[in-house]
This record gives sequence, C-alpha cells and structure tokens, in this order.
Amino acid sequence: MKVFKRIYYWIDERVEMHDYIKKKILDKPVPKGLNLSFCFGGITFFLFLMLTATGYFMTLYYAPLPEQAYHAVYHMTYEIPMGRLVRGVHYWSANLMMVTVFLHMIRVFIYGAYKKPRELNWITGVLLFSLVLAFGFTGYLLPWDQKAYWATKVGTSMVRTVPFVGEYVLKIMRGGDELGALTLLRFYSLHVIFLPTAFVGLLIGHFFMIRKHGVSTPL
Amino acid sequence: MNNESGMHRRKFMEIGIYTISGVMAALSAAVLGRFAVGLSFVKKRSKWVAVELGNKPVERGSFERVVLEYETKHAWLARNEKVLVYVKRMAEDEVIAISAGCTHLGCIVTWNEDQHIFKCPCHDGRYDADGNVLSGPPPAPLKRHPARVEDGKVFLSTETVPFGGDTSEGV
Repeated sequence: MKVFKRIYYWIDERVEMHDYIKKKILDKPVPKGLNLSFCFGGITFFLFLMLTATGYFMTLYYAPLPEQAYHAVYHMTYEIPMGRLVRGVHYWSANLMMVTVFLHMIRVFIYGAYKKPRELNWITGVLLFSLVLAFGFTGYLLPWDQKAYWATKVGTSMVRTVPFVGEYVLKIMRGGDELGALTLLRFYSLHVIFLPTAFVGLLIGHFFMIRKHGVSTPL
Repeated sequence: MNNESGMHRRKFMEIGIYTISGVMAALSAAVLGRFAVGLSFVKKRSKWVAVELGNKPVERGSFERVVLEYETKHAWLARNEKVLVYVKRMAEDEVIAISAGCTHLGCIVTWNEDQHIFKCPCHDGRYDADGNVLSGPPPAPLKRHPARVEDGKVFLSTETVPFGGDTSEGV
C-alpha cells in the first residue's frame, strides 16, 4: 500500500492534480433540495461505463462477417466462460440506458434546467441522446440473427420515406442495395469506433458544462 | 457542517463509496478477465483416425508418408486438418507413427531412404529412423502419434506424444 501511495505522490508532485480533483470533482458540494431524480444522468453514465467495459471485451470474440457473426456470438455466449454474463450485462445496460437517458431528459425538462446559461448542456445532451439511439440501432444488427436482420431491414427501409434524399441515404446506410456484408461491417464499425469516439467527445463537453455552471437548483 | 459528527458522517460515506466501488471494480475485473482468458488453456481433444497403408511387406526401414486428415473446430470455425505422418509397420499388428513436425521450429521433415534419416529442410536438423536427434538444432526427438491396429486396420491418434513416452495409450 505504501508503495502505491509513494507512486501516487511522486506523480502528483509533478502534475499537481490531487487538490483540484478533490475540491472540484470528488468533494464538490451540491445544492440543497436535490432528490433521486437528479441521479438519472449519473446512472446513465454508469451504464455507459458498463457498456464500454463489456463491449471492449466482447470484441475479443466477435467477427463482423455474415457467415460468422451469428456463430461467433453463439460461441461467445454459450461456450466461453462468463460469456452469458458479459453479454447479458451489455444487453441489459443498453436497454436500461434507453430508459435512464430518457428519464434524465424528462427531469431536466421539468425542472427547466436547460435555460440560460445551460443551453449547451441541453444541446450536447440532445446530440448524446441521438447517439444513444444510433448505438442501439447499430448494435441490434450485430448478432445477425433473424430478429436483427429483419429489424434492420425494416429500420433502414424507413429512411427511404425521407423526401428527396431518402433513397440515397438508404443506400449509404446499407453500403449498396442489399442488406448484407457491407451493412454488417459498417454498422459494426459505427458501433465500436465512430459512435464511441463522438460520444466521449460530447460527454466531456456535457460534464465540463455541468461542472462550470453547477447543478440547477429546484425552485 | 464542520462539527465533529458531520465529519464522521462524511468519512463514513467516503469509506463506504470507495469500498462499494472497489468491490464492484474487482468483481468486474474478475468476470471480464475470465471472459478474456476464455478457452485459451483448454486442451484439444484427440481422436482416432483410420488410415490406409499400402500393402508393403513388413520390413525395417520402409516409412510411408500418410496424411492424417480429420475435422477440427477452432472456436466456431470448422476446418479440415491435414497432418503428415511417417508410418512404419513393425509387425503384422504393430505400427509406429512418427510426426513429421521438426521439434526445432515445426518445419516438415523428409524421410531420406538412402541415408535412413529424417532431414529438416529449414536448419538441417537430422534424426535417425527412430526419430532420435543425430545433429542440428532440434532439442528433442521427433514426436509420435499413438497408433493401434485392429483387425488389420490402422488407427492413428490426432495428438502427438513425446518419443519415449507410452505410445500405446491415448484414448
């Protein structure tokens, strides 16, 4: 233990972050009068961390190819130790995240916490919400079973109804006319590379703003 | 805020939060670690495969090249494995099967009928007709496939065992 402490202080002597983190993040006082509904954002972030941890490790076993994806997921789930648990945590965290992120938004709306000077929190929040939906949509295809295939078939087909550009957006989403290898590969790429990068970037902004302005107090 | 009981409550909460977070982190690490290790240490299951030998008479020194062909599953991928084995009849109901994999770095050795040795093309490792090292870098004799003869049919095991070990077992 002493060794860790010494390493910690050695580093902190140079970066000088200990007091800042303690005062501004860990021990930052919150205003009076908050209730449990103010926890939804934090719960959402916790679920995001769970999704990140399980997602990282699931890439060890996944293969985004039409002939292999289903078998890879089956193998990971039923043959690898702890597979059901890891996938189960990812699945349920994703489902719960949809709920908590929505409740978080409702709470902010009801308390009027989006008003000046907190508009940027609302704006990044809406962008984050749409990314959560995109995560859900792309992740749903990856097991490549019947449900995944047809849900994505229907989901992408809806894009066609958008006036003028619908047809083109649909083709770009699928990587062509068919829902196939390219669709699976780009959904996977979006799900594990593009979306997480954008998400973390917006999240930093979201958190920075809340630290700057503090939690909006109820009337 | 700053009275003594307030400080106590604060400390209690702090310890509580760190403890709960620590337990959760440790549990997650254990689960994810086990998941990541997966089946890395699971031994391949061996099986017996029937092979065809030519009807050469039993005589010392005549090795036959036999390709041991069997289906194997790597994770979710099924594939056909083909392994070269040198098989020699010792008696009507006894064969020895020497693995062609060089014990140095795994190149395929070739049987030289004239000199009666196995030669490795990669680093000139040489073995005698029993698989013992004669010269070169190989650290150990050539491995053997457990073999058995039943009703005149020859069966080889897909696993290899070090030479010198019991080659008649392996079920």
